[in-house]
Amino acid sequence: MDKVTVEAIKDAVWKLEKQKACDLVQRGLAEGLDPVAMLQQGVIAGLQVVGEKFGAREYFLAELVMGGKVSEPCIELITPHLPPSTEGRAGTVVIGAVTGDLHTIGYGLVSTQLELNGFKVHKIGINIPSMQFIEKAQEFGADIIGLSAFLVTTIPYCPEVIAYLQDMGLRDRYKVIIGGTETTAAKAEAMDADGWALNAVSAVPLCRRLVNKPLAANAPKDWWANEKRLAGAGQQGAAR
Amino acid sequence: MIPIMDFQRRSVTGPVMQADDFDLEFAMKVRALVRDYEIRYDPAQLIVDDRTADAVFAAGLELLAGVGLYHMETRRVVRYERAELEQIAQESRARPADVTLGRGRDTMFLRYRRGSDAWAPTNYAGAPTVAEEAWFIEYVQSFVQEPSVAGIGIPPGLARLGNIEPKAGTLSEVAVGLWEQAALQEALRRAGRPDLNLGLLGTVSTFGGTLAMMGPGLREAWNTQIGIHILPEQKLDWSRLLLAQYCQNRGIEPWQSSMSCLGGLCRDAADTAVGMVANALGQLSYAHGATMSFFPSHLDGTWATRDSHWAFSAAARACERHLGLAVGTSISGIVPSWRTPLSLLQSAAIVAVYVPSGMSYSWISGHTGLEARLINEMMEAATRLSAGQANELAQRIMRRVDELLPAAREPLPFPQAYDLKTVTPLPDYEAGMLRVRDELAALGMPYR
Ligand code: B12
Repeated sequence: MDKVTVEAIKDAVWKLEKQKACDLVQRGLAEGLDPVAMLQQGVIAGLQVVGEKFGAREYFLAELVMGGKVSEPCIELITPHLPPSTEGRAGTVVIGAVTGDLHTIGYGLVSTQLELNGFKVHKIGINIPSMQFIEKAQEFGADIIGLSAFLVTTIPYCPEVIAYLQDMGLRDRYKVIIGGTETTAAKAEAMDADGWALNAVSAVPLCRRLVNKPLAANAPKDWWANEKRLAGAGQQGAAR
Repeated sequence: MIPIMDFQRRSVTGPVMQADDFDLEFAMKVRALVRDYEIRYDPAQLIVDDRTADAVFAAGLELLAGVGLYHMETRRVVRYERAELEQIAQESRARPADVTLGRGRDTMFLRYRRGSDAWAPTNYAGAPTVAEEAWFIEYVQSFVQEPSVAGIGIPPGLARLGNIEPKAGTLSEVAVGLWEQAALQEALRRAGRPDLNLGLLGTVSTFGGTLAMMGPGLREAWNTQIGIHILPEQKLDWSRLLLAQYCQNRGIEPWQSSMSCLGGLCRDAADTAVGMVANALGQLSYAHGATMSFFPSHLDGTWATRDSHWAFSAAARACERHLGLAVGTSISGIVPSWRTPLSLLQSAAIVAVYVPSGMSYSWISGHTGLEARLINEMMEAATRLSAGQANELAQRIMRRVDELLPAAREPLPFPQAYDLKTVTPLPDYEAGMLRVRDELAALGMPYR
């Protein structure tokens, strides 16, 4: 049998061949293939192809969901073999739709885009009580809490989550971002959230900005990060 | 008919599944059915033929029989036998929709309609989306003062009332909802039509909030509908079932609507049409209603495209030939063109395709009373077109829409379209809309 290559892993991932991708990863690990390369040029590069094909309308939502299902077990196999300093995950995000809101499609797409770009994403569902966002963020060690809200009656739950964090002394522990048709950067700023994005593609640079990762030169611009809070966090960091 | 209580059992005993796995099963099954039944989206023929309509119906029924509905709270799949669904369809056919809403002089009807019927769809009109306290009443009044408007499909929501922000499931949702009901009554009083049907609720969306809006002087069986719709794709929860049960107990006509997303789990218009028929049958199975709005929407939330026209036509014609539902939709252009001429042109293309496809009511007709009046006129005109003529007209309008789309600007706010004191259209806005009427006449809209 030929030796495993990262190219082969990448191909199996974008072709959505779950069993084959997992087998290749296992064999690659046994053959001493570099785990960092397997992760970044294999699995994550494969996911990027999935994203590109979605953009080109060759793939659809079902393929995005499958992309997640193929890559997840591969990443789990590789992770224990990574050197501690590797940039495996760009960050961890807990995301869902706030109390009373049943719109699933938008936050589902945001989750997928973030996953395709190396974030670990926990989708916690729709109609989620404010406190549950915080409990889940604690449970999963999240960096970012994503709130999806569409209705005039549900957008007010976004500042509620922020107020809980404030009152529990956890405000600086998590970045809170919001999105959904009727949300705007101005609304995000008014509630002192950490960021807002117009759509799923823009959510990627937003989240990278919030976890201090460099942005691609051609990254979309339809997002807003609360630079005041980011600067404040920097100062606090320096003081600590 | 499946009694609603049977959904208790189905919801708690069906197979356990992760939502993602259900989505995948749904997507793959739709693709297989569209292939097997040879259903093909054809942008040149926006009003689908009988063969396609029959195939879409058969595929939709098989889709629901194959994958069922997903109960999001119990995480179980509500399953059906094929024969049960065939019986539901047969019962619907045997009892064509004939719903009466409103009272006395303000009575309106929602009835089963064939594409070839000479009567025009009911103008169930607006007043859609979000309004401000300062012009809420005038906005609604602009619609209800139009004699052609037969009822309020849905009133606008309110983002703020004084310093109250309505928050779902809390006291403020109910407080703002009650203000909304009083404001609607005031708009009806000013228009001299106190007994008009108010349609869906605007601001209020939760189960508890909905119940708090029901009662004498507020909403009753004669002047309300309650939304019990499935979430795309084929998802259900207790609140939908509870509201459907409430409607049955109180004699309220449930508002059934079937939406499916183009480019999501459904790849294109053919998939979407099949998905919408399956969703429709699913709702019918528990809500037992007589009306059904279809909303094919692109993944970015837009519609009024050739793809969405075709998907509507396919689902509506499937129902026309196999069910007895009154089928409706929202006749409105895309968000950035609201209250601009482009929006009215987009609405005209919807009318040209949907009226010969069996549409029985327009649940939203544009974004002001003037637009509702102009859309009503178009619906009447379109009844005089054969399917072939209507398709040609729709194609001409869509080519004009293509030219204008790149220049779609911000929507025009209502207070810049209407004089709030007299509740009449402002001259510039009115002139722009009337020019569209002339343009449509030139394109072949057979106005009287
Ligand atoms: C599909 C839809 C539904 C479906 C939802 C199905 C589902 N499974 O999600 C159904 C039919 C169930 C539905 C129900 C209702 N809906 Co609705 N719905 C829509 C619609 C048409 C499209 C939304 C959508 O999915 N778009 C596609 C996705 C891909 O785009 P998106 O949602 O904008 O998401 C993108 C961004 O917003 C962003 N984003 C989203 N979330 C997040 C989160 C984060 C953290 C970030 C960074 C970014 C981000 O990225 C996403 C991907 O690019 C919109 C209209 C519109 N133009 O948006 C109305 C709309 C949102 N609905 C509306 C209303 C009123 C309702 C109902 C109350 C109707 C009723 N009376 O019953 C109910 C309420 C249900 C509830 N309790 O939530 C109104 C809201 C008005 C308001 N502000 O109050 C809208 C705006 C329609 C309108 N113009 O009136 N709806």
